[in-house]
Amino acid sequence: MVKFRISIRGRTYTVEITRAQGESFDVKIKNKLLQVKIGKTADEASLGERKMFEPSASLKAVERVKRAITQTTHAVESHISPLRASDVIKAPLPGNLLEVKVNVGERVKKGDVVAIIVSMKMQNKVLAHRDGVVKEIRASPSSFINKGDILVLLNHED
Amino acid sequence: MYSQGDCSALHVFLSDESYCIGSDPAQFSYLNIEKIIKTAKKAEAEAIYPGYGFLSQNAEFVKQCEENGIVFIGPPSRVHLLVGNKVNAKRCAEDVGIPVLPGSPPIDSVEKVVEEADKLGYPVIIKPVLGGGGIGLRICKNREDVVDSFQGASRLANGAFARSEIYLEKCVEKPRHIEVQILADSKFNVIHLGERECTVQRRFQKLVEEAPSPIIDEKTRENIGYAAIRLARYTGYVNAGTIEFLYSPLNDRLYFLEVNSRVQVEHPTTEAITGIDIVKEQIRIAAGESLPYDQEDIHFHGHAIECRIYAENPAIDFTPSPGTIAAYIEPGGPGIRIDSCVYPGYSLSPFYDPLIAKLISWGRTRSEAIDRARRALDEFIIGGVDTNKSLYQAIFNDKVFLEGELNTSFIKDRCIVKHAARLKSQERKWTVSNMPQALVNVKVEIDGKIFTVTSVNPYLAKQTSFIHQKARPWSLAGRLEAMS
Repeated sequence: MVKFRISIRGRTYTVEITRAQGESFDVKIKNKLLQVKIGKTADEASLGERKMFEPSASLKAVERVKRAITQTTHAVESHISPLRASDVIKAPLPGNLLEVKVNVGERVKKGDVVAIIVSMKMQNKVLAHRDGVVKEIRASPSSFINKGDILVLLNHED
Repeated sequence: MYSQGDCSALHVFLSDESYCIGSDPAQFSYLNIEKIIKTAKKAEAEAIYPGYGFLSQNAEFVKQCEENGIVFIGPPSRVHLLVGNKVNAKRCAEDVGIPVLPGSPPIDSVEKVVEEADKLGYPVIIKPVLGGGGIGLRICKNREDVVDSFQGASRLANGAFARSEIYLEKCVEKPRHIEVQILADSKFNVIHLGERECTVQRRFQKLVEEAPSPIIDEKTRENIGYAAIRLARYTGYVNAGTIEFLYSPLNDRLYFLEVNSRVQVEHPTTEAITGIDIVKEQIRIAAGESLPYDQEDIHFHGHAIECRIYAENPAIDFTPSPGTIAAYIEPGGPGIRIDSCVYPGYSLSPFYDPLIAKLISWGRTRSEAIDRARRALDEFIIGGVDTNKSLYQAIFNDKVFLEGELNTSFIKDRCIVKHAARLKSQERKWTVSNMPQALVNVKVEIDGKIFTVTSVNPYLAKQTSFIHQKARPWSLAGRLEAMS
């Protein structure tokens, strides 16, 4: 139904959404049929194998497709190599992301401010929970984010 | 009027007609002048009540109302232009002989801000020229502070009030914050309703507001009251307003701070001690009626204290706690008033203020008002989000607060946040599932037969006896004293 290519750690994967219904998508990757359930937050998306194949429903809003793609990417990524909790810096509260204070490749120390979220008219600092190197920035400034959304990924610890 | 996210807000349900004026971020809805005016015309509204915050002090908005034949319930645009600009307001205060603090003209560049700060001498305070409510204020101890603070302050001012100019003022150390409520009709009658004290603050946000102030005697009250009236007359003030002063304990003097050309969050304390409904008077004045009171008709009775109950956690650096209110039971009893907008199931949006409720307690004396506030706080059940209730419990347990020896660094000096965090950790978390049910069905076996008996929830009964055992003096104070 919708085919797209996603790139994870330099490798490209072809992913096909074969069915979409409500918050649930069937995703074909490397001839394996998986079910993605879209959660409110990126890491709530879960992957499970589907045995049934149902006729496809149409995807309506662009917004939903976008969300499906991002979340599928994240879900597929966790399927290939699950995220470790210690590598993830999540939003501690919902709000508007004012700025991400770090860049990819930058070294951060425990307690460094990595992002600022404006919630209830207060600027709230999001701190790094450990030392590390920023691998990826998952959220873009001036977008609304939910509690638990992944903001920044750190490299695995050695 | 409501934003998309506010479609489940209480005011939407209570009003006969309601109109959505845009998406959640305030700049697209509650700060969108064009949309609001358009909506008001569509609704054929005679008048707009602006409340506090958002556009309540925005001269451009008031002007738009005037040009479109909509009554703005508040001062006219010329007053907002004059006193809404704090630098102008200071000049007016000087003209009528009210002492002011040394300060700078409006500033819009980093170079200028450093130059002016050096001239004034440190510490200085950075303030946005427009807007009130302590937003964007920063104390700077040296030149580096000034540079650091300048951008943040102008960005915040811009976000909150859609204007970014700032100015500097000499910083008073450990001041007290005193403000005078005034009412002025369109026929040049002006009265004052006494003062309020809002010294207990955190990061320039008022926490406890009380009326009258424990340090203002009758003579001083009359003096600052008439100073406020003079300023109101001089500026051609109409409607309700507040003249704010800073009290410096060093030289026992009151300095003019700013004019708040709107009703204030803490106005219920004045209502409690004067018996005057300020919002009602605002509407009457806007309708062109004369004040029904002369200054001689205003009498002060007792003492009132207001707590602002916010969805924020004092145990983790006051992190906001947006989310859904799971449980909500308001306290009551003599002298207790709650102004709130929430209900169980209501969701507090991350886009707006964390204010859940205002708790106003009145007593014949300050200590009775405090006792009643303590009891009301104990009985105030809010579940689902974190609240700052424990902060007030900590304040009302503090010896220095009880003595009324306040200054703006009271919260820091008395380690109130630490005490609040401790109280917070002992707080019970209320959720839908643990709300006590009054009656429960219990199965009992009698002579081998099973019966279902409806009984008073034994858990509740246990709770009641628990309260009796550990009853604190103030749980009873509010009532016992009134009986004697």
